[in-house]
Amino acid sequence: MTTRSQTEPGSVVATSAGANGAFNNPGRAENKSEQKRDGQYGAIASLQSSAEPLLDIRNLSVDYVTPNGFARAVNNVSLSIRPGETLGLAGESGCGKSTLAFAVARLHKPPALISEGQILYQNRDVLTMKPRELRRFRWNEVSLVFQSAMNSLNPVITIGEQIIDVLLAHQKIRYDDAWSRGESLLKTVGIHPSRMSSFAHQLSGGMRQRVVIAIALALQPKLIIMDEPTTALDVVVEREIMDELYQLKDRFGFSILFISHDLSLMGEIADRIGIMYGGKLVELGPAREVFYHPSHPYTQGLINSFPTIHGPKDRLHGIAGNPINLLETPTGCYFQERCPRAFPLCHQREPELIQVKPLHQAACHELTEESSS
Amino acid sequence: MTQSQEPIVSMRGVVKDFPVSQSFFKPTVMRALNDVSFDLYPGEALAIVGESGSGKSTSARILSQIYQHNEGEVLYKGTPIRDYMSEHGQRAYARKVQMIFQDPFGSLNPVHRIFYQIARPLQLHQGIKGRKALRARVLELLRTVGLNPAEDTALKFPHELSGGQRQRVAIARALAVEPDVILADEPISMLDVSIRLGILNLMLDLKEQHGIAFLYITHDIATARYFAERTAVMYVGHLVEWGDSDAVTQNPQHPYTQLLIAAVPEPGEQRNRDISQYQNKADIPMWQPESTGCPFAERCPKAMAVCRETLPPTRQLAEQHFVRCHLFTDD
Ligand SMILES: Nc1ncnc2c1ncn2[C@@H]1O[C@H](COP(=O)(O)OP(=O)(O)O)[C@@H](O)[C@H]1O
Ligand SMILES: Nc1ncnc2c1ncn2[C@@H]1O[C@H](COP(=O)(O)OP(=O)(O)O)[C@@H](O)[C@H]1O
Ligand code: SF4
Ligand code: SF4
Ligand SMILES: [Mg+2]
Ligand SMILES: [Mg+2]
Repeated sequence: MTTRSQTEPGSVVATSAGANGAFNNPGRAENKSEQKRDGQYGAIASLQSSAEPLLDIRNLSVDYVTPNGFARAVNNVSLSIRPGETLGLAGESGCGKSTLAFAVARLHKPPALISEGQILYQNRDVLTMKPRELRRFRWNEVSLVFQSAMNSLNPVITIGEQIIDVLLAHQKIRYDDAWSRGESLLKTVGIHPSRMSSFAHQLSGGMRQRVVIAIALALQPKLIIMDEPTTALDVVVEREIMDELYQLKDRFGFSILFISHDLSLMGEIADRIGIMYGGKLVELGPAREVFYHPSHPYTQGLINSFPTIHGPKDRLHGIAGNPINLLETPTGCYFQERCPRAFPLCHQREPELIQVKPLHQAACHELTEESSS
Repeated sequence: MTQSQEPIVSMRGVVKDFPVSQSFFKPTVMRALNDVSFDLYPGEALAIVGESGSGKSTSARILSQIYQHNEGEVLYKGTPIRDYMSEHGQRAYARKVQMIFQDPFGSLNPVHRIFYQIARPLQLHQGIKGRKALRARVLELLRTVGLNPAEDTALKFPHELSGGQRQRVAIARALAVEPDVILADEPISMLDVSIRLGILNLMLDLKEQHGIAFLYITHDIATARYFAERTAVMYVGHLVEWGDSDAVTQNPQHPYTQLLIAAVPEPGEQRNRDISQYQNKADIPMWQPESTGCPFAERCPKAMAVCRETLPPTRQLAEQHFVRCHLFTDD
């Protein structure tokens, strides 16, 4: 049995990116069924790893200052990402996923304000970094890919120039070398190097998103934050891009914070999944556990909102009602109004994250009731 | 699914061309639909699934006569729609075949309250006159689409509603004229995940309880299977495989359908998701009147010489399962 070559957690293989584009011959053809987990993605091994977290978010709260008061879009969230791990973050729109992503890279802008907590990157405090250190952190350690990024490519300069601009600005590298690095970067994401001289409008949406990923990889960051990177794309293109991304991940060993509302995709690609509701982390655990044995009623409802392609065809019921208004939060559990199982305690006290299984936590009073009775 | 009934709308060999100006001196024509045929039966949903640009919206727009087709026939209850319209008027057809769009905001007039948006077609098409009767019918429609309390909703403006609520208003407005057919063009793709299912379930109710036929256009084949009895897969303006939704999704035979199904995320299923034998979609081909062969030939791992020469004919695989691929052309 062939196992995937796995990069040692944390050790970023430093090659000039795309040395001979391993992409060209994806060696993952026949042995699909033998591979780990359900699909070809994910490195479940990293779950057990006792390695220091690459990124450690501690009790982070982010507020938006609005004319009607403070809206706490990220509410006391603690999360860590290990080297080589993919952490998925899911939840309905407005639950605070993007706010969290921006805050982690300290790219949040007013009216957003980090009001509490710490963000530690390799034990360095991101929130107190000086401008120079922060700049290095943002480009060389962490990079971001957003859903709309493919529309933010500069329309008047070529793809190639945009890639090598990044290289020239952040590395000591000659123009010629930057150009050939750019070509191999494009190859790594499945685009012909001749596209260096194309303009954004000459590329399809999927190709533009690949270019954005190439730029994000240019400086070989250890963490890539991806906020709905494939949401606007067709499912086949999404699959092609995810396959390429995971081949690159095998090679370079970066970690991914992957944000999406698509729990099925998350269940395939992530090692762990976190679920957010109203700015709070309500469940966190191994992807498989969260997907097949969700503990929180909200997660259960979310999973029940997606018709499946092969599963039973029964009527699904999803989640009733609308997400909470952050300016009118109730006492107790934020999910109480929509929860089919709410009981009196839910209206009085906020549930805290508790351990439901090893590595699996959820914040729901029902779980405490069960475990104490 | 009893198909002894007569179809309510049908396409027969429909072709739709658009001029594309790649350069001023060299006007080109793109064929957005080529030889498209399907039937929609009363009280049944047919899903058209395909990637963006494959021609799904064009199909719906031809059925609703926003676009005119270049070749082939579009039939309403067996009569060519042009004949139907000259006999009964364009308005009669427009009333029977209603359309709902992806963006529910764009399709509602922002300056009018919800009451007006629904009362208007009732006055115009249904001839409901009295204030009291009108109000009763508007409220009834709002309740049917789950916009409770209806009295409150009626007084609101579109911007005061969420995306899902606005889509419900659009559906109520379509229902107002008691159509036979609703053409739903990606009705849930702009909505939030938890809201999508509610709209799908509402359309299921309308189909089951009111006997309305739906043409459901989507890029999400899992929702096609959930909502529609039959599914048709479109690629570059061609229907490549169609039939019973379970046959198409659980036993796909066309290489493109197989790619599409393999690409759908679903954790845990032990199935072959390897799509590496397919050519990368560098650019989707543009079909032109002079193009030949199978539209999928560029990417198909099983392409043969004939695939570049002749358009595959339709082959029936089972009672409710059809495919257009030379792998099934026997000679
Ligand atoms: N600029 C802003 N001003 C005020 N509130 C905002 C702003 N941006 C986002 N929010 C609020 O913060 C919450 C979280 O938003 P966001 O992080 O974008 O959620 P998600 O990415 O999960 O959809 C939402 O309720 C939203 O209304
Ligand atoms: N009015 C039009 N003029 C020119 N080209 C059009 C027009 N409408 C659609 N097309 C083209 O026809 C093709 C099919 O489009 P469409 O039916 O909208 O696809 P889909 O709904 O599957 O995304 C696309 O290439 C599109 O650019
Ligand atoms: S704490 Fe109560 S309201 Fe909240 S999810 Fe659990 S049961 Fe439902
Ligand atoms: S007709 Fe040929 S190219 Fe087209 S799908 Fe079938 S085998 Fe592939
Ligand atoms: Mg977001
Ligand atoms: Mg469309």
